[in-house]
Formats: sequence, C-alpha cells, structure tokens
Amino acid sequence: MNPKRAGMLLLSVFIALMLGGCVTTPPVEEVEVDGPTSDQGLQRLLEAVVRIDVREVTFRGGSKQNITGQGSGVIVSAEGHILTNAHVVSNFAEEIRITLASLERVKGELLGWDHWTDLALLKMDMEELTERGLTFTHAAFGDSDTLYPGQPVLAVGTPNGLTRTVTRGIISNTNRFFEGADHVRGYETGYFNTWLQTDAAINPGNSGGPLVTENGEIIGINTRAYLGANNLGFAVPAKTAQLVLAGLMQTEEIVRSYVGIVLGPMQDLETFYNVEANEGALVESVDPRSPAANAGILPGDILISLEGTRLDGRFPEQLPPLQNIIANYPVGTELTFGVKRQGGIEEFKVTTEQLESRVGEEWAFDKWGLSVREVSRAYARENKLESEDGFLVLGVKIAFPSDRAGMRAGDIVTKINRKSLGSLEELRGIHDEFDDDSDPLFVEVTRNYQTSLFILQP
Amino acid sequence: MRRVLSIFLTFLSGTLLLPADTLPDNLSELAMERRQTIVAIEFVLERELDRQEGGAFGLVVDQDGTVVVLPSRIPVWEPVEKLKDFYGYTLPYSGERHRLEYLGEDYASGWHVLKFKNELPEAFIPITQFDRATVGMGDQVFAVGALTKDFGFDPYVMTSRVALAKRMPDLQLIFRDGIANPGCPVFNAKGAFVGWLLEPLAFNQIMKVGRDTMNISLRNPDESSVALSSKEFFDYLDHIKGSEINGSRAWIGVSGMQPIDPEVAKYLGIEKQSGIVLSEVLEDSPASAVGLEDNDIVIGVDGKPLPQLKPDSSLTPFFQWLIRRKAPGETIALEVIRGEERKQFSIEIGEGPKMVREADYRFYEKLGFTVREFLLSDGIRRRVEKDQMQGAIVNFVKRSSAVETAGLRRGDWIRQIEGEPVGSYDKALQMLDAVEADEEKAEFVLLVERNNETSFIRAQLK
Repeated sequence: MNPKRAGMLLLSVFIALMLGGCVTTPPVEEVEVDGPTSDQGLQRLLEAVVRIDVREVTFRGGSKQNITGQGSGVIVSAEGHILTNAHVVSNFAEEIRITLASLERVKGELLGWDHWTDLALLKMDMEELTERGLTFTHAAFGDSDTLYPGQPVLAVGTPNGLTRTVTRGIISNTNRFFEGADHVRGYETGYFNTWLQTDAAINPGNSGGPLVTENGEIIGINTRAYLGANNLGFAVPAKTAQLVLAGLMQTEEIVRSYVGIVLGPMQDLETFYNVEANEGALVESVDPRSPAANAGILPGDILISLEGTRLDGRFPEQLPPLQNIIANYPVGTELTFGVKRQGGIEEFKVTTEQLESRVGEEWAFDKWGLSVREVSRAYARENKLESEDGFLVLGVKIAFPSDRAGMRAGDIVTKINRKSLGSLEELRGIHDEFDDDSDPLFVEVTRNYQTSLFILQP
Repeated sequence: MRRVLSIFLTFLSGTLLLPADTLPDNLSELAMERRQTIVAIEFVLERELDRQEGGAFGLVVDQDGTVVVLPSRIPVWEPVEKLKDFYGYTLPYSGERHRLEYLGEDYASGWHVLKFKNELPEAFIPITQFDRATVGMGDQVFAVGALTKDFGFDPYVMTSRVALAKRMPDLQLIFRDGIANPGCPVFNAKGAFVGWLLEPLAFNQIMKVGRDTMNISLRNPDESSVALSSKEFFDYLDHIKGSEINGSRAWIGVSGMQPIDPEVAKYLGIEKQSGIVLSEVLEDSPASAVGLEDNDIVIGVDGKPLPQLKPDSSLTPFFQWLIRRKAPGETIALEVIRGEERKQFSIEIGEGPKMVREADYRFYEKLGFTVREFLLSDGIRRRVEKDQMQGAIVNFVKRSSAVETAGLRRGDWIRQIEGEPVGSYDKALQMLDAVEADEEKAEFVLLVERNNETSFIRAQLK
C-alpha cells in the first residue's frame, strides 16, 4: 500500500516470494547438528537435498481448484524433518511428494508454516521409509552471521524441474534490505529479517533449497530472485531459519507480538528532528485501530527507547531487527516506549496483541458457486471496515446462484437473512441446508463501502 | 445469397417508405435553417503548467443567448477559473468567433450553462423558435450535426427512425444509428424539435483476430443515437431557468445510494415498486437529524412509491433528481424499510457541501505541487471521522520535481508539514507559504496519508 513499497515490487519480479524472518518462540532445543565436515560435508548435504512436488487447493474463481507446484527442500534431522519455503508448501497443500537423493519418492506432511519468514517445516513419512528400506542423510547448519561478501557459496535445488542442480557463486551482500513486504498467496512476508544476496544462479524451483558453504553447511534457504536479472538471488539467513525451525518443531505456527507500528529509517532526518545520529527509530505509519494507535503513538514520533533500551533505526537494514525485538515479546506484554515528539520525551505504554495475517480462512461453496475468505481483524482495520464479521468474496462461478444474484469478487458478505455471520462454520451450515426447495437467501453485501442487497435463488 | 439479400432490401425499403411521415422534399432547407440553433464551442482548460483544448456542441435555448451543453463535455473536477476562452462558432465556420461566458453547471441536471457575452448574434436562432413535438416508435426523424473544426464545422443532416422510446425515467429516444453529434437537436419530418442528443451509447462487438475472439465495446464520440425527448428537455430547462446556477444545492446527507433489484423488492414485500439502500447517513446531516440510519431502504418519496426502472441502476439518478429539484428549506417525505419495519421521515432539505470544482486551490510553483482544501467527499472516501475532515489534499504534482522524486502523488492527504500537524487548510497554506518563500530551504519534509497508511516525503530542494 505504501507508495515506495509498491515501487519496489514493480521493479522486482521475484521467482518466488520473499521471506521475512524472526521468531519468537524461545529456542527450545537445538536441532541436531553434527560437527562440520570437510569434503564429506558437501556430499552429505547433496544427499540431504530433496525435490518437493505439491498439489494444493486454491479458492479463486468461485470454487475449490487444484494447482500443482514444485520446489526444493533440505532434510535437517534424522527424524525426517525438511525445511522449505512457505510458498512451496503452504497450508493449502493437500498432497506432498518428496524425492530423495536416491530418486526414490515418499510422502510428506506439513507440520507447520510461517509465511512471515516464508518457511515451512515438513516431515517425511518415516513408516513408509522404513517399510521400503530407504535411507537418507540430513544436513548441518553453518553460521550465517560470519559470512562475508565474496565468500564462495553453492545453491542446490530443482530449478525449472531440473532435479539436483548445483550452482556456484559468492555472497554478494550479507544484509540486504527490502522495503515492505511481498506476499505468499496474499499472506504477508518479509517484515522481520534482512537477506543474504548471492550470485549463485537461482531460478524458479530453487525455492526452499539450501544455500551452502563449500563444505556443505546450510547458511540460507534460497527464496527469491529477480527474474530476468543476472544472478540476483536472495536467501533467508540460516539464523532466522533455525529459529523458525525450532519453533515449528514445537507448534504449528510461530507466535509473535504486534503493536501496529511501521518504522521508517531516520537517515538524513536527524537534524530535522534534532536527534543524535544513531538514535531513535522513526514511526512512518501507525495501523488504524492497532494497539499503538490506541495508545496514542502517531506517525512522525521517534521511538527513542523500548523497555529502557535505546533504539537505533538510522538505516533501513536496521528496521527488521527492531520489528523482531517487538515481535519476540510474549503476546499481551505491556511495552513502554520512550517517544520523542516535538521536543519533549514522553512515555507510551502499549500492550501487544498477537500478530495476525490479513488473510483469513478460505472456503468454497459449491451450490452457490462462491468462494470466500473470512475477514480478519487486520483486514478489517486496514480497510476501516466497521465490523470484523464478514466474508470477502474471492470469486463467483459464472451462472451459479451468487453470480446470477449479482455478487462479485471483492464484495464483503456481511449478513444473510438479516443476520450477521460470525464464523465460517455458520456460513457452512446455511450452505448445507441450501437445496432446490430452499427459500431464497437475502444477502447483504458491502461493495466499496456501499451496501448492496441480493437474493440467492436455489 | 443474392436472393436473400434482395428480399431483405425489399423489406427494408418497405419499412423506410412508411406513408405516415415521409421526409419533405425541402429537407435540406429545413436542416440548414435549424443548424442555426447549434453553437460549436471551443474552450481552454488552463492547468498549472499546461493547457488543454476542449470542445462541444451547444444548443441555443433563448433569445438572451443562453446555451446548454451536455454534462461530460466540460470538466467538472477542475476549478471553474481554470476554464477559459470560451468561444462559439457558427455552422459552417464563418471566420467569426463569438465570446461566450461560462455560467456554471446546473446541479440538478448536470448541464453546463453558457451565455453569449454580448447579445445573441444574428447568425443563431434559439430552439424555442421552432415547434416542438413528441415522437414514438417508428417515427421518422432527422438531425443536424457538424464536422470538426478542421472541416470548417460544415453542417450535415442525417435521417433515421425512432427504434425505441424508453422511460429511464426520462423519456429517451433511441435510433438505429448515430445521427448527429451529442448536444445537437433532433427534429421530426415536419421540422418540429423532438429531442436533444445525449452521450453516445456503447455497442458491444465481437472481434476475431486470428484464433482469438475479443469482446469489444465501441462508441463513436461524434455521433449519438440516443436523445432526450423534447418534453423532458424543456422540463429540465424550466428548472434551470427557475434556479440559480452555482447557487445552493439541495442535499440530505446520505452517501452510497444503491438500487435494489426486483427480486430483492419481492423479498421485502414491495412487488412492482423499487427501493434505494442508503448505505451511509452522514453525521450532522439533514437525514441524520430526523433519525435515518445506515442501510435504511427508501421505498417511497413524497407519498409516491419508487418505480421499478430498467436498468435498475437508473433508479439512483432518478432518486437524486427528486431531491435535487427541490430547494434548501423545502421538505421531502421518505418512506423507509428498516429491518422488518416501515417508517416515515420528513426531511428538511439542506445545503450541499462544497464540490471539488469549488474548492480552494493553491499552486506552489517552486515546490512543484498544488494543494486544495479537504472536502466532505474526501472524508467519505477515506472513511474519516467528521472531526478529522480537514487539511489539504495534493491536487497536482509537477513531473520530475523534488517532491515527485521523493514520492508525493496526486490525491495524497497532507498530515504534517515540516513535522507540524496540519490541522486546518488555512494553517497548511500558511506553513506551505513559509516553505515556498524560504530561499535557503534545502530539505522539505511532509507526512502524507494514502490508502490509510502514512509515509514521509523527504524532498531535497537544493
């Protein structure tokens, strides 16, 4: 939505989507890592890289449809855990097939995903592996904090379906910042981390595969690249990936705190705001009705401190880690921000909420030819909707009742038969009872903030 | 094939030779006389850095030299003072231009009203000098139009028959093809005025290019096939003459008027009539004062049920017309459905808020942008509470200026200037005046809101 962000996205056509990265769950237990190896290291890594074929559902166009995709992944534990991108395997996945280094195929299941960092955790069907007598190795992580520009790296994956492709390059930048976020099927991603940039060739299908050192240690998960550019690829740093991995081993999703502040770099504005260099983070925007907005924080405020610790948001690269600090507090924590506003410094207390996606649950109603997405808290606030109760129409099927009634993609269904709809479950209930003998349904819809009324005829 | 064609042609010539109202032998004489009711108009839209030419055909409606022009032919989103150099020309172009004065837009009809600066030049005749008549399906008509200025505004005549006369709810005459320019008059076979050509209809066509089939919509901007009937034309004209152009506008303070379709009407138990949903009743408005609420459905106005019109969408302008033809201070009675209840309201018509073309503007030449005052319509679009509806909207950004490079865009709502909250529009002007006047200024910081998100614009002026 932000102008600059839109510009950024225009410039870049990403192979895959981008990622963000931070995590809140305290690292519970280190993923099993064997000591670094030398020559054998790379061999072992190569044996741990897999190809992933996915069949997933989409609710565009008024119905539930299947789409297939393909990407890469890397086995990271002896128990058969595989790390990949959330845009390779999302929670829309219905069937996951893993191709091992031995070219044998096994089933996989999704344990959890984190679209905010574009990472997903899968597990292979271990029973099937045992039954069939299949074996595999798992790869080890390296330290993504000690990388240096110019360091040789390899990317391994399945670019354009070419299984087990290794490409070679260097680390081009260790701390690449992208303003704003891209999307994993509409889900936000990329708020919480910076990226490793590499010139190792990365193409569609490399997504989810590892970026590794010459001795085969994972230092990043290849996630996106500029299409049409010459070797501008980007990977989620291993540090972020390891934290998300640890979190997803415990629960299906990573829980983060949210206050609703969008930060902007202070750079060049220090004199304007009369602050020291390397002091403070600029509030670029405050999400409507968010905790920060309710607490009275305004755009143009400068966050000097958080819980007594001074903040430094001078350069864009420093902003994702700051967002991460906030995200890492337990949900419901009352945070004290020291805020500089027009000369004085004031304290603001903001109680965090759980970070939620603007994308709600999706579903398709066959008899109506209608697919919807639940209006989420974030979506309602962002669009200044009066209520969070409602369903965004993703699509209508031509000549089905919802189409014939006049409904369109983008409408928000607010009421049926004059009653507000609290949950998707309620809507399913109404749909289940809808048949040829049903009474027509009286549907109230918000379109561009205007109310339209429709009749769904059986 | 040839035979089929000839049968068809016979049929067609049969229809063209209906006896009732055949065109007279002196058609060219009638047409050339009537061309004098038409004024070819040119004007200039002067913007911050460039000028644009505009043109239209207007109809002379009285001996005082009043001329009416269709709504879309003169931009209404630009301030009136930017519309300049209105001149009228005869058909064909005589080498002489006649200065016209732009009086404004009639709120109820949307028509633009102009007047010859001096008295009506002799070369023109008001349409009222000719008889008027009503025509119906199948009747023979002719219309006078003109070529473009390059071709000397040469007048032409075309003939047609009324294919359909339809109430929408104004009675409109639809012909098979375009017969003259929008804004030109249509006459019956006897030469009586029967209609005023409106904006052309669009026709859907299927185009095949190689293996691809495309649905395209075609519209000839220079020839219209739909006219407002003369009766309605004069009804609107009487309203315009009786009211003050640029005067107060009737308004009840609701936004998002959505017509309901017949199925919904049936569900609501109002078969054979229709209704309009009032999506939003604005704060502190005449409608909210009497207790109208968001999503009330109006089903009757001043004791009469709202009719079912086709298309459904023509109900909204009809309802607006019922309000707009009244004067502030008069009342309008609305019958409303709310949930399962029916309610009656009597609303005292209020005065409408400022429109975009009436807003105050200021161009900052050095900074490279124009601001205009924040209007109620901006507030409605942005879902802003009434007490926050203030400040300045960016109305123009100079290309490649420092502010454009920094990301400022037309439509941005300025929230802070140099770190100071903007507050009122006047305060914004004061602050911007100071920045514009400051020769030393090297850096200029704005906070703007766009799509409910704010961002900083950091412009390097030096």
